[in-house]
Amino acid sequence: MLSWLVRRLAYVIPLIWGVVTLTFILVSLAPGDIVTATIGDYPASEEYLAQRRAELGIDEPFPIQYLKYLARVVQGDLGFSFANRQSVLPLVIDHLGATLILVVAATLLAVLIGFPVGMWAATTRFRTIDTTINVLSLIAFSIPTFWLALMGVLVFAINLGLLPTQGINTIGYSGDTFGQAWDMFQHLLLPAAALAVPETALMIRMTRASANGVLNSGFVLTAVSKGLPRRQIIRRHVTRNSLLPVVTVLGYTFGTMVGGSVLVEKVFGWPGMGSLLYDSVQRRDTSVVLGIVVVVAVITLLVNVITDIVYGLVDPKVREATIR
Amino acid sequence: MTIDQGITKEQDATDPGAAQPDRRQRRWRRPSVLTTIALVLVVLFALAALLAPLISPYDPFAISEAILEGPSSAHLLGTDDVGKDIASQLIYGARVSLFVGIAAGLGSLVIGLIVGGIAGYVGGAVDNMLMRFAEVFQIMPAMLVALVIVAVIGRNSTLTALAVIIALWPQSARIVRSQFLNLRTAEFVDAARISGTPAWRIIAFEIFPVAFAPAGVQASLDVGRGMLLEAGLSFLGLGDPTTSSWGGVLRRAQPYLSDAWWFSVPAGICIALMVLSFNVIGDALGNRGNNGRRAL
Repeated sequence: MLSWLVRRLAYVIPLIWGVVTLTFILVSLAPGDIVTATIGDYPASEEYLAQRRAELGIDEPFPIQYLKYLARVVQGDLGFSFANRQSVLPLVIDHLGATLILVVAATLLAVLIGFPVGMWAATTRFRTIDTTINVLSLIAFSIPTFWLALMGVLVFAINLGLLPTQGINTIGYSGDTFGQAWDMFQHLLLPAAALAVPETALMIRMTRASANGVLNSGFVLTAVSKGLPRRQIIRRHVTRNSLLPVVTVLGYTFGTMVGGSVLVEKVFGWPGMGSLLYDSVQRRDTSVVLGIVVVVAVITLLVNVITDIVYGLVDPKVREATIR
Repeated sequence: MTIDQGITKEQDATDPGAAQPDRRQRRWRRPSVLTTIALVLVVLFALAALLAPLISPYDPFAISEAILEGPSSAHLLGTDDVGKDIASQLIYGARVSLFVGIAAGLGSLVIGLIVGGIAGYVGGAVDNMLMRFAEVFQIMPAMLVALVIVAVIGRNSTLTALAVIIALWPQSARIVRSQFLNLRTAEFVDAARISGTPAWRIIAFEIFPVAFAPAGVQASLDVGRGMLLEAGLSFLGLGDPTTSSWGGVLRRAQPYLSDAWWFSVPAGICIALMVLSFNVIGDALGNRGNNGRRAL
C-alpha cells in the first residue's frame, strides 16, 4: 500500500513539471512584456527600458529564465506580481478560498441532485422518465454557465429582489458570526447554482451510465435469481457499486469547475481566483497568470490523488489496476 | 440509450453478426425526432452564417439613434446600448460560433486520430510518453488553457479556434488510443496480419473504420464544447474585436439586464440551442447499437 502511494505521488511530479513548462512557454510567447505594458505609450529611452528589464530579470535568454523559474517554483516561490506589489503565491492563496467555497458548494449541489436523479433514470421501469431525464440533462449540459448566471441575476435578484448580485458579502455588513455566514450563504446561492447546473447534468449522465453497467453485471442477475426484492437489490448492490466510478470523476471535474468559475466570478464580482486571473490577464501580469495555472493544476492533481487513494483503499482491484 | 433504443432492441438480440464492422455499416437507422430537430437547427444556423450579409437586416456594427429599443418591425430583436440591431449581430454571431465550434471538432478529431492512433498502435514507451503529454493538457482546465493562449497571443477568431483545439484534443486522443489498443489484438486484425497485410493497410482499412465511430461522437461533442469556450472567451472580452459574437453581445448586455431583456435573452438561447444540437447529434451517434440486456 505504501509503495503504491509513493509511486502514485512520483507519477504526479513529472505532470506538474509539464504544466509549469507548458505554461511558461505559452506565457513567454506574448508580444511585449511587463515593462512595455506598464509604461504604455509613454516615450521612454531604450536605456531605461533595458535597466527595468535587468531589474526584473527578464533580459536574460529564454532557457536561463526558464531554469530560474523552475528553481524558484520548486522552492514554492511563484514570482512577484508587479500590479499587486505582492508575492504571487500568497496572492493566489488569498483568492483561492473564495473559489474553493464556490466550487465545493457547486460540487455538493451537483452530487446531491445528480446522483439520485441519475440512479432514478437508470433504475426506472418507465422509459419516458429515463428519456425526460436524459434530455433535460443534455439541455442543462448545453447552457453556458455565464448566461445562466445572468438569467439568475435577472430573475432572482432584479425581478424578485430575493438575492444579492455582487460580491461575497454585503459591504459594511456587521453582525454576529451566524449573521455573516447567512449573508455569505445568500451571496453564494446564485453563483453556486449556476456553476452546478452543467456539473449536475454530467453527474446524472455518469451515474446513469455507471448504474446501467452495474445492472448488466452478473451479481445483479444472481440477486434477481435468488428472488431478492427489487428495492433491496437497487439499494444494496446497484447503488453502492455505481457510486465508485462517479466519485473518481469528481477529481477531474474539479478542474473544469475552476475553469467555469472564471466566468461565473466575472458575472457576480466574486473575489476568487477567476477574478484575479481575469484582472491579471488584462494587466499583463504574467507571473500571476502562470501562478494561477500552476496552483490549479497542483490542486486538481491532489484531488485526483486523494480520490484515487480513497478508491484504492475501498477497492483493492483498483489499486492493482492503477499501477502503471 | 435515448429515444431510439426501443427500435433496435430485438434486432440486436437476434443479430450475432453485429460486431463485425462490415455488417455494422449497413444498419442505418432513422434518426429520432430530437435528432432530426437538432440537424435542422444546425442547418438553419449554418445557412444564417453563410448568408449573413444577405439576410441580416442591418450592418451589425452600424450605430443608430435607436438606443435600447424593444423588438419592433424595424428591429426584430430590438437594439443595443449604442443602437446596433441585435438580430443582425446574432446572425453574424453564428459565423464565429460555428467556425470555432467546427474547427474545434475537426481539429481535435484529426489530432486525436494521429496522436491516439500512434499511441495505441505502437504502444510501449511511445504510448506512455504521448499519454503523459496529453495528461499535462488535461490537468489544466480547458477554459484556463484557452484563456491564457488567447490573452497572451492575441484576439482573433483563428487564434480562438487554435486555442480551443489545444485545450480540447486530449480527450479524443484518449478515446482513439483505447480503440486502437483494443483492436490491435482483435481477431480480424490478427487474421489480416497473419495473411501478410502491411501495417499501413491494417491501420487504414481494418482498425481505422471501427475506431472512427467513437472519435466522431467525441468530435460532435467537442463542437459544442468549442462553442461554449468561444462564447465564454468573448464574454470575458477576449473574443475577436472585429466580428460580432454571441458571447460578446452578452458581455455588453450585462449592465442592461433589467432594462432590456431582448439584449441578453436571445443571444444566450442561440448559444444553448447550437451547443445542444451538437450534443444531441453526438449522443445519438454514440447510442447506435449499444444495448445490453439486463436482468432488472
